[in-house]
Amino acid sequence: MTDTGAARVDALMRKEAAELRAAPGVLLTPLLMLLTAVALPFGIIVGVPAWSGEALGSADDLVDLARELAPAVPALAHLPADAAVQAFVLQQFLPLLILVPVIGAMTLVTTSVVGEKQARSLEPLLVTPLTTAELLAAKTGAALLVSLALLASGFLTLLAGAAAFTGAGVAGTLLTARSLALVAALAPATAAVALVLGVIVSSRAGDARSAQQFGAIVALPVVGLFIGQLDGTLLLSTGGLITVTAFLWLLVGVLAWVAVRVFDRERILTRWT
Amino acid sequence: MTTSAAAVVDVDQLSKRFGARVAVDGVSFTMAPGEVVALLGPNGAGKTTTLRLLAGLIAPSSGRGTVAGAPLSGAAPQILHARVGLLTETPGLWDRLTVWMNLVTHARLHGLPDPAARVRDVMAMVGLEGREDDVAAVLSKGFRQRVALARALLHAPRLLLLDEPTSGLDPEAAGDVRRLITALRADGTAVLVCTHNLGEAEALADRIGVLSTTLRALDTPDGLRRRFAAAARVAITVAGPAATWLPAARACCRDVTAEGACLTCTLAAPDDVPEVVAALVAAGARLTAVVPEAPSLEAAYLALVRRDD
Repeated sequence: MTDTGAARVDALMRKEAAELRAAPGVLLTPLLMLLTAVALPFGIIVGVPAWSGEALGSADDLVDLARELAPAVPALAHLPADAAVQAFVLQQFLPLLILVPVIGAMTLVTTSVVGEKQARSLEPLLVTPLTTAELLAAKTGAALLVSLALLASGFLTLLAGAAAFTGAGVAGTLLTARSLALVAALAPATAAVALVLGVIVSSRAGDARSAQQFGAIVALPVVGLFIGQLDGTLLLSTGGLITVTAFLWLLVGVLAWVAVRVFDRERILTRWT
Repeated sequence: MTTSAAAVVDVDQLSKRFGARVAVDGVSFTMAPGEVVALLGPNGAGKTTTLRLLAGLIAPSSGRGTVAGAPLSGAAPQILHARVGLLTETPGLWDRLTVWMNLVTHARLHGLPDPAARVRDVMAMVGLEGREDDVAAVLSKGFRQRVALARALLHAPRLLLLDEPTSGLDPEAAGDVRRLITALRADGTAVLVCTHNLGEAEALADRIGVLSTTLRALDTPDGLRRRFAAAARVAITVAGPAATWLPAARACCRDVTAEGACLTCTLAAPDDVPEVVAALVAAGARLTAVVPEAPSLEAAYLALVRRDD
């Protein structure tokens, strides 16, 4: 991308940001997802002992289950029983946090692309020197930044909550290589896949809602990862997470190439009049 | 007629098909700098498609051409986009954003060296001073159109394409748009305007094109009237019953009707009025009024669009 191309992308991303500030309601769904991902583990860590009157560490089978995660999170082996279960719960719900940028990215990008078509603002945009690649880069870039900001705020809230409501050493288990690989590598890559798929779908879709429904397809593997974590059948190591991340970025590259070709300016203009 | 070398628009046999449907067929014309051409035609005649072809938004199915020196079907439509301004049929503003944000974003997309200064200039040009902070969604239709017009002018295009620029505007706002077009013409900007308003086309345009999939004609308003309107007529009021003078009138008119004291004569040519008057006077008629009726642009337009229907 040339300097002038980068300037055009920057101009369009600023416009996207201004539209988001003017209508923040579009963030409602990912914010609800964020709230769920953060509130659920603390509901268990704080709520269950308060309701049952027994510490989590008093349930031997739960402690055994927590210790089984030690190969992936070595710090778990050295924690007291109660703290080990708390760290286990946080680790189990961490994949749910990945859904936040996925849903956020899909919502933002489909609303943005389909919104341009519905508002008839796409035609004036397409008659500027903006290339299709630049247009899509700006749309996906803006949505990715916001989604990652949501992810970061969710992860920091989880960290702060762990520091405030759990035993000594539990918050530290969120800063292991595996946890960071999950949040800082796998989550952005999954969000990027969702973004590019969102662009492809919204290039063809009639409205934002039908385009967003396609997001379920991207969310499914993440939900699978979450369930696999819960029942222990899919416990990815740090290396495994990095490998999956690398594959996803490769997929993003291929899908981006497809997205630029699928975004047929002529078809979009003539079908939407 | 413009020579190709100096032309802002020079298209030859431009056609566009969407599947089996032919939207535009074999359109050829040129436009000079500072020339205003109005494109008339019924709904679905291919006017918007023609504008999109010239703006480089869609590629021609066949034919070739250049706009401001840039080829229509080249590999880099960005060069064309930098030289053409397009006012779409609907303003297509970002409704949640302010007028300023709408315009300054487009100024940046065009890579203008000082976007803020240019936006201020163009806002003054279209009468938008003081409306910078207005959110686009709350603007009246007239002001929305001004913002869209300002957006199309930001990069000082050599060719301005206007799709129904005064449609739905009140007379004052429509008058402002027409004055702006006149000012742009004086600055050397070529303007191609699609409209259904024949009066507007006649008042604004150097030449008028009638499009109905094919370009049926492109000429000055007078040229169109002369070539395609039904023959000129003259209404002659006589003393006494007009029917008395029918034989004398028929000797030099294509068609004559009589009603009361009035003879309505269809002439072979607009210049035939003196001959008809002379023939009636020679036959003994006392004429009390002679009112020539010039052929109208509407008649020429209808004759052209109904041809081969």
